[in-house]
Amino acid sequence: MSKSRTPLETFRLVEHEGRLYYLRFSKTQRIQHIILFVCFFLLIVTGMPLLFPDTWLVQTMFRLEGSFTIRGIIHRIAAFGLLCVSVYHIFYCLFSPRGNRDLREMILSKHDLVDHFRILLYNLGKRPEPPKYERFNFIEKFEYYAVVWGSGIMLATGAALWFPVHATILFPRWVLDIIRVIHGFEAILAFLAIIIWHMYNVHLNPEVFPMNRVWLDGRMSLEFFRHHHRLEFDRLVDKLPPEILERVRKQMNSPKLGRHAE
Amino acid sequence: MLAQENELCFECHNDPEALGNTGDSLYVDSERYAASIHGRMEMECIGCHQDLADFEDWPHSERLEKVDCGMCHDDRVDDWEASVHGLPARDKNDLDAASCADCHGSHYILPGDEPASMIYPSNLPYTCLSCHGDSKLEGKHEGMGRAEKVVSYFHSVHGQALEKSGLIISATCSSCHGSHSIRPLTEFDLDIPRICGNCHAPIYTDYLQGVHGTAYLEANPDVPICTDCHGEHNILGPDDPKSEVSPKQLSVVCSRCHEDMTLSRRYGLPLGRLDSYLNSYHGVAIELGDLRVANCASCHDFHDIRPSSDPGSSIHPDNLAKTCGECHPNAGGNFALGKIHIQDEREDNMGAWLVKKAYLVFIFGLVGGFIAFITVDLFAHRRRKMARLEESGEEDK
Repeated sequence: MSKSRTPLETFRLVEHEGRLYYLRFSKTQRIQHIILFVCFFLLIVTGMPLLFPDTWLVQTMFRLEGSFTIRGIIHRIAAFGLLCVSVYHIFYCLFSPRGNRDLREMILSKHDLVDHFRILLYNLGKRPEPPKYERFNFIEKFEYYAVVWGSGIMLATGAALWFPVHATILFPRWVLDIIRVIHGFEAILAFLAIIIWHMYNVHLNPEVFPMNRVWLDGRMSLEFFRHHHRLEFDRLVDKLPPEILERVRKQMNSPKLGRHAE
Repeated sequence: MLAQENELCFECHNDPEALGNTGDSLYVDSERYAASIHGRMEMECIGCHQDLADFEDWPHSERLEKVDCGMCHDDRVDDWEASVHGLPARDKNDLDAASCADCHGSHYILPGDEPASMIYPSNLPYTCLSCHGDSKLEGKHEGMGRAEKVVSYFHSVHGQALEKSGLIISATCSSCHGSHSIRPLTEFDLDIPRICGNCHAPIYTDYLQGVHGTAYLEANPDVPICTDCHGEHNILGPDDPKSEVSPKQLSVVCSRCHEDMTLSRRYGLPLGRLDSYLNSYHGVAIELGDLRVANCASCHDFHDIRPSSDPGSSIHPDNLAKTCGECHPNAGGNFALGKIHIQDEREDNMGAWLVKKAYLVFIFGLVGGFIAFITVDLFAHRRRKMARLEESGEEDK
């Protein structure tokens, strides 16, 4: 499989229909994301009913005999899927060059706090320019940590609820009752975070509406890249060899781009 | 001599077309009579129709007296006279209620252990239902019960065992109500556990050991007896989803008393059992159709229900781990630590209460933050878009 990387690949650029794009997410990352959200969706659909058993929708959902038992099986399969992708992700972040580099990009800095206020001020018309973002802006970092935190909590509490007899070797059952509360509320929290925050940022936000397609093909247009991740864009452009830089300048209709500006 | 005398009667009565003055059929099939228990014993017609004993001037014209079976079967008739069927005849001269012939037949009576007998187990329900299953009669006489209810016997475990499986030892009408000495419900009720115990002996023993049975022995009128949970004529097996004691419906049955304010106050029963159960995982799962999860009886036992203070109780602290272990193999002592029926979370499980409150505050705060941020963001987009339009508009001019 391993073949020598082309110059474009070195700089995470891809060519598509004659144009250059920034490859924001590699195939491995996109597959991780798809597994994650399929598991997440299944877990929500098979778990939420337990929190609202008296509603018409839930009653209808389980009208078929045996459907509740199947619910439990699907929930556990999806949980196992989430566990697998989580464990894989840990190894991916620690041991793959790309994962490792992206993990470093995820580290919180004081910029994230400041950017939050800057964008608010910009949105309120009190600042002329939006903040310049790194590879991951504070919104994306927040979402990533929310997923890490949420998955950790849900996997740990879910395991205790899955194996109550073994869990109670470690602690009394009333702790398990607390764990059940946590599992339920953390699920609501995760669900709301996804449905409100993530769906706004990747679907309903006018800048990407109807959908930011980067999760499908990993490609991000150079204009979008420059606009939304200016600092990373600038760093990339500075590193580009002259022939690629020339292509980028031409494509973006921006002859002064890059080293020239220094 | 005897046979000849009967032959004399059959000369006229063995004719299927023989009609009396009033147009009633006078037909008595001599062969069927001969096959009946009385015929087999070579009883004379006049043995029962004694008003013709000394008659000479055949044919007789007048209607005969009602036969008195008590001439031979005196103890049975005595029982009957004191029963719900006999009393109206004695007290009110009401002859509508069943008397001997209504259940046993008249000329063709067979012994009860012969399958063609009207009182053979598989026939008895139909015999009784010829009156008790007739909805036109139910309002006419006090205490007859609703026909629909009585007919539901056929759908019960007892009726099905009899009809479908041919188990003639299954309970039929007389197994519970008796035959000749049927008593009114007010007297009958008190005896029900003992009556059911005639067949369900070990369950009766269990029941008597439990808190309900103990109170029953003390003649407590509030205590549930078998029929209060299982129903009467329509008793269904616990595996039948229509049964009130099926896993899904059981909590409703128990709650009839255990969520009743009057009874709770009278006996100090703790309230909120049903709600706390329905809020637990067991309750949610059973409501949504997983019948394997614990219901009331899984922990409290079915018939030998005892208070947790009783060392023999399935919910005595020392026995809890074993009780939980019935479904959760290897459940240890820790497994039983913690309140089950949580009524007031703040008191019963402070930790869970705090976690719940903390999450609520956090979730509302976070969602509020999201919405505020998104609103500002959307307005800013709109404002910038308007500004851009305005700018390009001016340029166009």
